[in-house]
Amino acid sequence: MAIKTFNEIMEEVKGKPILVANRGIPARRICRSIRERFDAVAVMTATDIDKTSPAASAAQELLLLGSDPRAYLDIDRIISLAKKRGVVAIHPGWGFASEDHKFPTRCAEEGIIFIGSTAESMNLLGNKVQVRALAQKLGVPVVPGSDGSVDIPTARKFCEEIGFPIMLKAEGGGGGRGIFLIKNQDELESAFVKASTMAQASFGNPRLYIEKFLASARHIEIQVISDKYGNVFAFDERDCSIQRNHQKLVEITPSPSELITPELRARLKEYSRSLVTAVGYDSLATVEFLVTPDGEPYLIEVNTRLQVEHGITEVRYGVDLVEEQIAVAFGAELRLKEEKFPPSQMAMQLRINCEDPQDDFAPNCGVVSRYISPGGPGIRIDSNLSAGYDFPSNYDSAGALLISYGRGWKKVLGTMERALNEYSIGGLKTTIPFFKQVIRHPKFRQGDFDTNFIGNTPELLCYTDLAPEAERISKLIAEISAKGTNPYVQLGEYRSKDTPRVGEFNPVMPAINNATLKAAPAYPQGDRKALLDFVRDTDYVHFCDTTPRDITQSNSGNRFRLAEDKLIGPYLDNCGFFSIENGGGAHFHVAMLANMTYPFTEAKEWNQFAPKTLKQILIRSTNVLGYKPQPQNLMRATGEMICDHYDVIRCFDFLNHVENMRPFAEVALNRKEVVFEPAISLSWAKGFDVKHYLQVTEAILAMVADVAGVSTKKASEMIILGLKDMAGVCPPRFMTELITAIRKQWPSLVTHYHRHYTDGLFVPTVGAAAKAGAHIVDTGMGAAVRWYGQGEVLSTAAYIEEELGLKTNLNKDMIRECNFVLKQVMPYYDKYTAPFFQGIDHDVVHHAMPGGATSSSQEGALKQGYIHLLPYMLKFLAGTRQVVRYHDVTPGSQITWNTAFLAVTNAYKRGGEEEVRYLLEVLEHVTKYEEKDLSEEMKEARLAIYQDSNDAFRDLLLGKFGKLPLGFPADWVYQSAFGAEWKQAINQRTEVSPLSTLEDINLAAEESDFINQIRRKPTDEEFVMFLNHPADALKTVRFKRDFGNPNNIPLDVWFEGLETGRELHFVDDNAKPHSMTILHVSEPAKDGKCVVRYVLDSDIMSYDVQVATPQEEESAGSEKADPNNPLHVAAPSNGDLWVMYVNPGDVVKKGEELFNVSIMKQEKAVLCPADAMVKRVLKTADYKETKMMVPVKEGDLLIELGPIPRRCSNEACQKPLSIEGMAYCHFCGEKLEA
Amino acid sequence: MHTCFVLHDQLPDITLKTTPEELATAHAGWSTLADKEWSESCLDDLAVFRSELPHFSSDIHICGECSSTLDVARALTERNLLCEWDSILGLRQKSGRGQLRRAWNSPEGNIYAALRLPMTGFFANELGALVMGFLLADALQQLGYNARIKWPNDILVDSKKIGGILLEERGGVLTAGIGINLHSHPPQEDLRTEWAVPAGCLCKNEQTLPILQVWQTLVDHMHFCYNAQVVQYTTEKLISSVEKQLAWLGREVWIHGSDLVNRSGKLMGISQDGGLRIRQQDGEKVIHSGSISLRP
Repeated sequence: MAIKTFNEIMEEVKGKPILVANRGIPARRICRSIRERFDAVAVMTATDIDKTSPAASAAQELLLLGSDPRAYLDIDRIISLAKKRGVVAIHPGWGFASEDHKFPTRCAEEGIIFIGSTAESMNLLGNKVQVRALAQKLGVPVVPGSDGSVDIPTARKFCEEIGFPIMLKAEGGGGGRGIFLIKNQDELESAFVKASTMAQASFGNPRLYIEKFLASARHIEIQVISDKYGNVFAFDERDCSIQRNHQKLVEITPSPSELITPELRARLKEYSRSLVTAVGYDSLATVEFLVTPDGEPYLIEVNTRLQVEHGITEVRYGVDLVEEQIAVAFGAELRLKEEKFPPSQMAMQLRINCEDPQDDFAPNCGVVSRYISPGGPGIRIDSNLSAGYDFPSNYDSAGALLISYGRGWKKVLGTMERALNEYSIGGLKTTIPFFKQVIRHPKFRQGDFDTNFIGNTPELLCYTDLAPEAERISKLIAEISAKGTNPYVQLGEYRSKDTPRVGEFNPVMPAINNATLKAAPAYPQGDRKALLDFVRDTDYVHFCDTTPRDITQSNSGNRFRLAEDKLIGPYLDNCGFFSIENGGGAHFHVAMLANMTYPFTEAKEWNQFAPKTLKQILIRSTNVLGYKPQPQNLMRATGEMICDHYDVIRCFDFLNHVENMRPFAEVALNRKEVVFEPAISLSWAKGFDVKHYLQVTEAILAMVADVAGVSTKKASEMIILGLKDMAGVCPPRFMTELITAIRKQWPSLVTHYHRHYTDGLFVPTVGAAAKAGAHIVDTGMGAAVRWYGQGEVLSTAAYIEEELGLKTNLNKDMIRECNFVLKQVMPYYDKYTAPFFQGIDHDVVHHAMPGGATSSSQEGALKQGYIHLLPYMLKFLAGTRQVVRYHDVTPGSQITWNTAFLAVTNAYKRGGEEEVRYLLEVLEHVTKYEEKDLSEEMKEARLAIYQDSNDAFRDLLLGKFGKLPLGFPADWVYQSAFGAEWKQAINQRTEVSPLSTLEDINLAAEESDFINQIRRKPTDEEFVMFLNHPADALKTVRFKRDFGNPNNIPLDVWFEGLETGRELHFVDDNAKPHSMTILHVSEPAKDGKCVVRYVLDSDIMSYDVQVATPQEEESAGSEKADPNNPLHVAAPSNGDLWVMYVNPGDVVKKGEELFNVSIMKQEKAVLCPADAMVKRVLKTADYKETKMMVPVKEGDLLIELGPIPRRCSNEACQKPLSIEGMAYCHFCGEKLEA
Repeated sequence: MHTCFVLHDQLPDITLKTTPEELATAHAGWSTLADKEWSESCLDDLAVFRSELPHFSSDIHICGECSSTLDVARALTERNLLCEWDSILGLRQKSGRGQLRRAWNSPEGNIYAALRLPMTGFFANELGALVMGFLLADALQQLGYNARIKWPNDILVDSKKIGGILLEERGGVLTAGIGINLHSHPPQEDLRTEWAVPAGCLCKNEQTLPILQVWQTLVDHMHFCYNAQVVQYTTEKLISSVEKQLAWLGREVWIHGSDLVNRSGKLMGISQDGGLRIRQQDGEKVIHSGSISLRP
């Protein structure tokens, strides 16, 4: 035949329809080439599902195939439709029927050009067994194995010869499917049967052949193209070694490995050319080899079609393979000549599949909510994705093919990494984050990988699939706005969508003048000795500000956020405070529980926006920042992190058990820049007098001296002694006495006084303390001072200066500015986080419930319906404190409260108020009179006092928290609390610190646990958070992953959400500004979800929020019975079907029980309404076997009955004949009447 | 005047025949049968022994060993021999059943009863099981036992399970199967799961309780309480009365076998449709199926 040129083909083909019998990515690719130079009409097949797919846009016409998703395999139908359309050529793409030899045969019969291999070549080259024979003839090395298909005995023989492991492969298979790895003879037989069956089902050919398994091999393939005239072009190799389950994921040309030398490359090309020439091949083909680590190549198979990874070869050479393939199919001479078309670029392709790599690459389908594809130099994309596309479940998971190219491997890597970061596919899980891990992996970058790379590198699956932070924050804002409340802040439903708002938060922030900002810090930093000397030498009273911690912990539910800290922090920094208390206590925990903030990151930021003032933290001796005693290694880890961010560390123990403070002291005293402040918990009661507290002070100094290896006098110069009146009960005269005594005995000891406002005597008592010589006092900003925290700074300072004649050194103007800003912040917190019960309670001097616990405990009593018993509980508190004596700070205060609550409520349950009153009388009596003056009756009655106490109280009595400050209580308390086991309890009790018996925590196991939950390694901070509060730390880590940093949301939006139509401006953690406007919030649908549509920067997005419980369950799809149809048997009401007795085909009698439904623990039998045959059973259950019940709704159709069919007339048979119009009974063969 | 019948005939596959003497010697609890006057008679086509039940408002049928008293009840109902508030007592059951056909261990000495209930009022809707539990717990309290309802239909006395109730509805007839441990209870090993409430029985030490009389007293109380009070209750009043007798109110409980499986929450009460209100960290939920325990 005359050799045609490309131009002649173009003339021939112009305007003619060429069909692509495929879908998705390959169809789009091919249609593009059809339209470009040829200017032919690109026709694409499309089933109903694919009619509107993004790929379909590349075609000019669609050849509609109807509703059956598998229609792409129906060659005959496609060809007949094509013929009708007048199609001149068909391109099969890859997959589907592209390697079915019937396709080219049928096309030839119909006079349509098949753009691909001939049937003969498919059978020769495409058949795994045939090509092996050919290769061996041509001297092309093949993988050792059987030369043809085998049966089991032959297989066994081969395995013995070539040795295990071997691969069992399907002769008709391809694309990595139908391959089984067999390791030994035992596996062979069962695997053989399985493989053969699978091969028959998948490829229509059950024959198998064997190949030796080559370990650590690289998959190297050569693309060739040849024309009808014997011209062949062999391209540089493609390295497709990165595979998973024999599916290629990454393809690179040329191979980045040094293993593929120019000599080997030439060899492989020569082999490939010889193979295609030998069969007279005239289209595209790919010859695939495995190359062992010693550089030996072995042929695996030849693919006689266009391949998924053809693009990288096109990019490397700057050619269009599809265009060439079409031209060649029409008889053009190959334009590509190896000498004229040298390769220049290096290229890599990643298969962006809609799969979740972390879920074993499970395919994903669903709506693509956001689609931003990468671009710029060096990027090529072939995709079947767009925003809004509902990715179907019926086909493969290929979403897009992403190619990066450039001169050199490093450029290709860099370009790909950049492109992956730009690529944003929302709404589906994709392989993008997985590939980011691959690209980063050093072995990959070095080109050092083989086909086992993915299997051997599990850390590739450890990543977090993160959308950009602004997008995540916008989802959070959408959720809060749709619900009207913020569920994450853990305040219940404190408002709804319709509650009037406090309004937009736009605080006026007075500028701080430069001089102030630039002024040096008021106190020495980073040097404990210098700091303490300074405090000793100055003659004014020093102030510590507790606004960011204790004040807001006590009065604003601990919900004061870092975002608002940032607003007031710069002012606080310039007020001349000794320190700012900005961390610890319950705040550490609640930061994670409700503010979704990393507490140490918070501390770090404090040191950035308020760098000049010392930072102070409160920790508990045994628990540090957690809720139970910490073992040494955990305490050390937490302690070091604390010392990294805080300057003054106040440590307290509710029993003043000094040994409990020792382990932490060891950490803190070791850091010269940190000041350790052991604090004495103060109560004002019998036994807790000045003498007692002086002994405690001595014990503290002795312990510090021991740890630091110095004298007690020196020790007194190294620390600050804290005096902590948690409940605010010690009156002025007592503080005067105490502090005077302390100052007298240890003149160099710096004292720091902390008191709560609850009893109303804050100012005079703090004043007295200062007058008696306390160096530092705790106060707070007036705008935030309420009932339960500290008192206010300016008034305290005024009292100290004007009434007591002392000096202070505060920047009062700055305090005023700070108050002005804080005043604008507080209304939100007051409205949403204020405690239920408020107000000053002078009775606290009797019942001693501390600060924040006062309101929450009493609120608890109210909510449980015991508000009327509250006065009794308070009386109980006053009494029990005199029996079991310790200090009411955490956790002591909880224990006391619970003991009171349980005692009073249980007494009430036993005998009403009378019983309660009697109980309290007994308690009062017991505290008033000496043991020797008590009657026998009283001694018996008092045993009731602690009979209802809980484990925590008993643990306290056993000494498990530490040594009780005034010793163990009387024996009768044990009798009361432990009942019959009281003697053992007394024997068991200990005065040793609970820390001494704790075993170190297994840090490696904990880290493993974290990785399992979050799928990546924790940062150091996350790890300490996790060790202290595992559940809430995980909650915060997940929150951050899902929603970003909530401190980027302004205060009003955090509590109230965003009104529709208001434009919100916010910044993300990279200080990039964003804007968000909610366009519409729909009404909740039946499933309880509403859709929030909003604009984020320049994208329109939508987000579903669950605002109500679904009204109907997912069985909205259940078929309903027709109430008028007597053959319909329905569920009698809403309940659970737990047993279905019949099956379709059963003949049932009237009154027989068909099934049973459990309705609120009542079992209802549903009986058959008439003699009939069961036609359909829609739901079935068998609780006894499966332990599962099927929920049903009233009216759901469960059984459809049908008329009883006639029976076979043969008496011996009589079986029901379910099919109409049968001439013979198909059970017994009897002839039936018509 | 109502009657106590002892079934002398056998109902195939359901019950064997028996006599009052046989019953009286089968267990100490039945010995009081010997003190009554019996005469032979017929009920429909069934041979029976009969004795008067003075001051009692319904009939009681006693049978020997049966598959389950619920089956006996169904057989008698089909013959129109069982009216509302009539009941069956069985000596022992071969296939005593609880919820969902679980086994109910039934050796002689305990109460295995089937009580036919009306199909009106609260018994016509889903609150039937709760009402039954309430009536039974109330009746036991009248007898001096510290009885509580473990939702939805177990009876606890002194925190041990001494009874269970199963409501079966079939063909427009509602029957309550009631098992009460009088003299014996299954050993802990036989209980369903690790978290099941430990079993107990009403008898203290070696005392003997007269089975028939105890049952009579209970039915008497339940019937009276229902007709005099419960039948006039609003749903709110019923729910609140049930709540007063609810075991573990306010305590942390673990939930099994519903979609809150293996979660815990605080038991807050009963909802208006008879479900159990549980409070968890993220709010209050109502469950309608599954069971609860104090331990996970």
